[in-house]
Amino acid sequence: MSATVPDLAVPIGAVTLKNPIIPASGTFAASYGRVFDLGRLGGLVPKTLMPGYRPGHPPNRLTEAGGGLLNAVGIPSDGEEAFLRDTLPAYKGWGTPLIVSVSADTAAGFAELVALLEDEGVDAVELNLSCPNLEEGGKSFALDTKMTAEAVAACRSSKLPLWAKLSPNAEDIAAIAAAAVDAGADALIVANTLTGMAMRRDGRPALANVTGGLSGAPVKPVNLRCTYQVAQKLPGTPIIGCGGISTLQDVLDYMAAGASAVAVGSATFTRPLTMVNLVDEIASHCTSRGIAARDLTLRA
Amino acid sequence: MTAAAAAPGDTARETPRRGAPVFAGDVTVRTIAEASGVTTMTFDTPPAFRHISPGQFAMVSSNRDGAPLLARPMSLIATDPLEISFGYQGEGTRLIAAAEPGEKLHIMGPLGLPFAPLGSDALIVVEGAHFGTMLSLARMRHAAGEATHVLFVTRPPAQPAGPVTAGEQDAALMAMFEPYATVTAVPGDALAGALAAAGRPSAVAAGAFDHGMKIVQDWCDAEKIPGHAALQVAMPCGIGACKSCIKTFKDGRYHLVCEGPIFPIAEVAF
Ligand SMILES: Cc1cc2nc3c(=O)[nH]c(=O)nc-3n(C[C@H](O)[C@H](O)[C@H](O)COP(=O)(O)O)c2cc1C
Repeated sequence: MSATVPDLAVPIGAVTLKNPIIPASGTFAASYGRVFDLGRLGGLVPKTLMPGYRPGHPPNRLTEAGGGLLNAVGIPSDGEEAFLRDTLPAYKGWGTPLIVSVSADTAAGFAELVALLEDEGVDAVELNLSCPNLEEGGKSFALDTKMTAEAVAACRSSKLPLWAKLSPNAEDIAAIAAAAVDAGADALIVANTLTGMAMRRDGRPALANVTGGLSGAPVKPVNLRCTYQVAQKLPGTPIIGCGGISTLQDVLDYMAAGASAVAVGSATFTRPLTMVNLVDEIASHCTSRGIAARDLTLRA
Repeated sequence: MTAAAAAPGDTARETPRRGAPVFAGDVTVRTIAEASGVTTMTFDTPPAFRHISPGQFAMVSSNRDGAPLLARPMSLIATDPLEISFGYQGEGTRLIAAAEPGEKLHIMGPLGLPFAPLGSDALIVVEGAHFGTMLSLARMRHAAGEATHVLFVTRPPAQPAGPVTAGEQDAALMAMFEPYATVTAVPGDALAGALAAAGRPSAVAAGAFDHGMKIVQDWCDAEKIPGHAALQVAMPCGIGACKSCIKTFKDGRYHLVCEGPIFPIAEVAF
């Protein structure tokens, strides 16, 4: 019996991922290239870049909570220059698409970062819309259709594909998704962390920021529901599912809900080889069924 | 847990490249010994761990059902066989300590940048919760024929330390250093005086609570002696991805401890 090599490539608009597994921004670093060949992933995604120097939140920034992780890192940043000089080169040359995540506290701030990346050899830009909008009293862009549309529209003059990362905290995530797509988003990442809180035994909050983003297995049912609702509303828009993915079944569930690819976050902290193992398992799954990875996506 | 600890192996004196390959996978526990709340374990040694240096660490976690999501950073004490030694603090370390010989633990490493050479006559300042890094340093220096004086900063004896008292555990830890160094027990409030009486070492390596580190930092500064701090904070990923293992430095910025964990003591804000 001759082994057939399954076609793992998945199109996300104009970008073709090598396979459906990419890292979730903020849970990955180029230093994992010391652990495994980063070229085996569907694409690479560095931690969100924000404008200027930002220290991030004080410690404690991360804790185990409710069977998942709760984090309030605060997107520390050394600024654009350091990102282009030190961070970006470490992600290049792996032979797999590079998607850069950006965020800002104004729509114009998003646009400036996207413009900066225009000629930097990046394959797509992910707009992390979970950041507070300083022009709207600190409400997160991703909770509001108008603010989401403004942030995406501000970036749309870019030639780069724009992927909008949504928040499961939104009341009507399908409406937010539609606003992002109407404003020019080429794909959607569904979704970011769910706001939560944890206490220490002494009754004080476990995180210095008091609240944080819940990730890992406990958010899967929520983000899977979000993925399904967005896929139902926007059948033509590629979706990258994200939230609590660590097993092949998790990947298949998100693809059955309508995702074309998935982003893996917290599971990499627990077992650093999770993503490459998932690539191998998807390959075996597709081989045994004689299908391509893109066939795993079920859309209405 | 009855298996005896393996004979100490030499920790190779080789500075790994920042980008040296890192192993991630299951490793079989060979021996386990527990005394006074301190567990010492050896493993079948993956090739990536053949050349490790004091200061380096690995992220270790249990494969048992219900194990915490995050691995725990452990100082690498020796290679061939790979050895770790730790006092247990919470559920993560308790489950690691509960492993049986033959059981597989998940390990990622070696990680971190090690100590720079400390010269012929170094002083180590260490306290119970930080002993792993310093034990590996003392052992390596002894193997290289270099003299080391250890100031062991004792905790209040009645304080709990895992399943025993800090008094019992500190005595057990000091006994672990004794084959490799001259050891002096120093209560926390007597550290400044003990340093003043310590002569002029070629360098100082310190791993202790912040107040003790500040005393060592001031002394190194006043005496113009090179000092190295082994920092220890909770480390969720160990490899710079989660940006959570932070410590404030004198430049006013947070730095990632996993990018050390050994730093010039003069740079850290204690
Ligand atoms: C420590 C940590 C840091 C994160 N930082 C970012 C970030 O900078 N940008 C972003 O878009 N999402 C960030 N996230 C969210 C993840 O990208 C992902 O959406 C979320 O963790 C859900 O996926 P998971 O359950 O697989 O972790 C972060 C998550 C964690 C745990």
